Amino acid sequence: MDNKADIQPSAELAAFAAGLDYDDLPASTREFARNWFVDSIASALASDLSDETRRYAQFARAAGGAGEASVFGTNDRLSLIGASLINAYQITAVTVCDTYVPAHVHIGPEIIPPALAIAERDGANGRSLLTAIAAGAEVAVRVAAGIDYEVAGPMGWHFPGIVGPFGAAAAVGRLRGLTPLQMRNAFGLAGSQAAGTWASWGTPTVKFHQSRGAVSGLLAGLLAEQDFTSSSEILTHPDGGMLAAYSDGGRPDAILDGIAERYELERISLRLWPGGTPLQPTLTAVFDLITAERPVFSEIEEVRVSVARSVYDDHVRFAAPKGTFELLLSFPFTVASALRDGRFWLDSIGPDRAANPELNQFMKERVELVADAGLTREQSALDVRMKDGRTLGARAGAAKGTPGNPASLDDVQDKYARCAAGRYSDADAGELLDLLTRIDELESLERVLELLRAAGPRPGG
Amino acid sequence: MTEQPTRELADFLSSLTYEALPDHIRERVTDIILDTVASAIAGRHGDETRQVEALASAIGGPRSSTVIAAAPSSLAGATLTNGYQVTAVTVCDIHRPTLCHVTPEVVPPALAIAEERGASGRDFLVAVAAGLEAVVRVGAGMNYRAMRARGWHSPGVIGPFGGAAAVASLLGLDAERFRNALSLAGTQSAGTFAHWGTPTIKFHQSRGALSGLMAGLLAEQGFPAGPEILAAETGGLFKLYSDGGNPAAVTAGLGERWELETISLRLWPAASSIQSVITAVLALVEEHDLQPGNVTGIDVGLSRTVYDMHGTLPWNDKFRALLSTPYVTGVVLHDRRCWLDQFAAERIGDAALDRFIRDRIAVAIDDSVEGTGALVTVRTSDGRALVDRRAYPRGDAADPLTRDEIIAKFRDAADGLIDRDATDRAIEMLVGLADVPKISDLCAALSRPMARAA
Repeated sequence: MDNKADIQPSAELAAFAAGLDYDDLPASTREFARNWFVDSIASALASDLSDETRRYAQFARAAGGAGEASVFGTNDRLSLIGASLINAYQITAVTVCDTYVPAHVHIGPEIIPPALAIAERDGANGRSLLTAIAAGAEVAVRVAAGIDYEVAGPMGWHFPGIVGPFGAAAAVGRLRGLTPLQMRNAFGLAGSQAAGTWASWGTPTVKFHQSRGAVSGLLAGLLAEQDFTSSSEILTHPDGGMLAAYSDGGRPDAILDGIAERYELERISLRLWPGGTPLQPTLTAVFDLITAERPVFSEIEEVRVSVARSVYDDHVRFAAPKGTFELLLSFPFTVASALRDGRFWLDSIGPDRAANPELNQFMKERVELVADAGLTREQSALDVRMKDGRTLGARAGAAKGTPGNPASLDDVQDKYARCAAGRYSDADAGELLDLLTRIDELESLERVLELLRAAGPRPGG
Repeated sequence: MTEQPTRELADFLSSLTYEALPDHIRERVTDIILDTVASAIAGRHGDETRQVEALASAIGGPRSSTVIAAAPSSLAGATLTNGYQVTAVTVCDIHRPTLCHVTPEVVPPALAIAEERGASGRDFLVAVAAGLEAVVRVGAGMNYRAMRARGWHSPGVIGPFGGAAAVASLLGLDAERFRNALSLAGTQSAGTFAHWGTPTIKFHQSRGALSGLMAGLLAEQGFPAGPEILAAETGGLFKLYSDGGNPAAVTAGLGERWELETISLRLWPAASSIQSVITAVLALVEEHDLQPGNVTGIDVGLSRTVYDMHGTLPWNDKFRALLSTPYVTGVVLHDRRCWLDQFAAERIGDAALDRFIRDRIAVAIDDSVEGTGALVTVRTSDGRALVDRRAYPRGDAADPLTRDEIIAKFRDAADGLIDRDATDRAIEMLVGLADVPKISDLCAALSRPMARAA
């Protein structure tokens, strides 16, 4: 561990973030960053489907107060801190936002809202915004790689509140044009606020980590702009550096490995369907099968779902799920629901769904979950026997939306359409999507922000 | 999980009333609040206070909350700024067993919410008592030695519990919401010694105050949080920030013994760990009428821990001069007092003083000195060696400041920042806090109008 502590990555990571220009980003990175941005906004537009969002909005208003920054889905503008709190919560509210799988961390909720608030206040253009959030995402995933979730996760740390502040500080700092030294101080201030543990698992407080992470980065960036100083080496300091305090010394080499050449942010996964990460490969196989074969639900005799042994062990107990939390972890329910409806979305997991007799019978009698030693956690296979004796199959080598099977712009647009449905007129929904997908061409963000504020209540919602 | 210290602490604190506080605890909390406000006024002289104020301004929001001896800010902004001011010139409280400044995290969010919600002085006093007790008791459960070994700095880790408890008390949260507030505080615990020697070490107090405020306000909405943030097997603070800690210590003697009495106050700006040095030097100066010209050398013996933190830092700016044993020893010998003018740029830059310190003051580890004690030996030109040994300084929990001493500190701090009438009014209200109908009246005496603060 001694030689690990000799590496001083904070200054170099800060110089990268402070100096990142739009022109430095490879075309593939820009494309990914745009898709990720659209996906994050889409996720926020689904947030009205969570019970806690309204309560959280009241909190954000009480803590932050009225101000100049737009809040998605309301004409009430809040302070930078208030808007960052509620917009971050909205992105993560119904758990369809991004995940950087190696660190079990959501990235967009922490980074995009404070960056958007600053960009709005300062009248920044879309290119600056996209560059800033790309810088933020890259910093967050690299800090995550350095701390090493393999060690820190089992200890009890939940990463959005820990690496998120770094990403948000980088994005805010880039928009504010911080010098490399100021950026290093911003990272120090971000680290001084890194918090959040799995003690809150099963409660919405795990989502508070994302929201609070966004505010932490905002404060870090704005205070560093005042030339407030902090640790010269927040990452690898032996006494209280991130890699020591939150891990076992971590992997300091990973922080800068291939920086500015390889954009690690492209390995962030987007989530096209609700449900736990381990179910996403199976959902991928189900929809590949539906697209290719269009099986009629009532003609299905039997479905065999194969997953990795560890996935099987974690999930086999959810064969008869009760409540939304268990529905999202139940393979039989998810497969039955998707095959019957040809879709799987947030309305597929309503409270009455567990009791649906047709689904229940199918789950019980026709779906079998099996462990297959030949599969990794990222893979799943589906074998379907029809009543007429035909056999159909599909196999997902990686879940749709993950680096091994990236989401296309079409996929993200489909998700956006589901999230925005009912909240806009067709014309407004189309206009917002068009603007979001070419955010880096926009000289002004005003119309985007106007449309984001204008998202209305969902009929019957 | 059998132990539920978070629940038990929340149950107790959520039902805490003024009547339940023994007289001497009411008086003690009154003293602590008076001292905290004095420290916050002095904090206007902190070099970085303007930077935090600029941050508070940048985050936006209506300027409806009082910043002590300054122009109003938003609720969050005032909490951040007051949190920083209390600790800015290193003259605030110190809980030595956990090396934690407690008041910066507790009093500012309580003041902001009390002002906003129209609370009385009595409500405020109970809330601050709840907050102080929460921090010290969570700290007792932490096992500080193990926590420190992992790099953690107490104010940002255990401090949020105090802000959350104080706010939750003012908001009248029931036991379950109170527990959620504590849990939401713990889910924001942060701050390490990686920042030692930079002002970010003080930002932990400021951010800790804001974390407590947010925890209380989010819990008010009925937002659920983990049931046992302290002792949970996975992600509980005692395991994650320490070695499992001592959960039973959190609630031992709860309501019978008031742990907040173990909080120390300070008469002098300068690091808590070198207050014994100041106590010793001032005692020697007074007893022997020492003149710098007659002093040929001073040896200061410190424990290893204190030496590592305060023995070797340069003293080229105010922030570090306040933490420097050689500088503090020299300037106190010369000026026969220790207040903010001893840390002004001109004084730090005085070449003769600087030379005296470098030539004649030697700071070293002395194995006979424990904790934050000090052994000061002054050698004089007539060949004497004058010795003063201190196990603890003036203001320590074992030798508490008198109310008159705290009032004198308040007046020193307010001089030039708050006019005399307002100072008198503020002191009167703070001393009679339990009878103040509205905290907003106190805030009015402490606030400076926009125009004057510009």
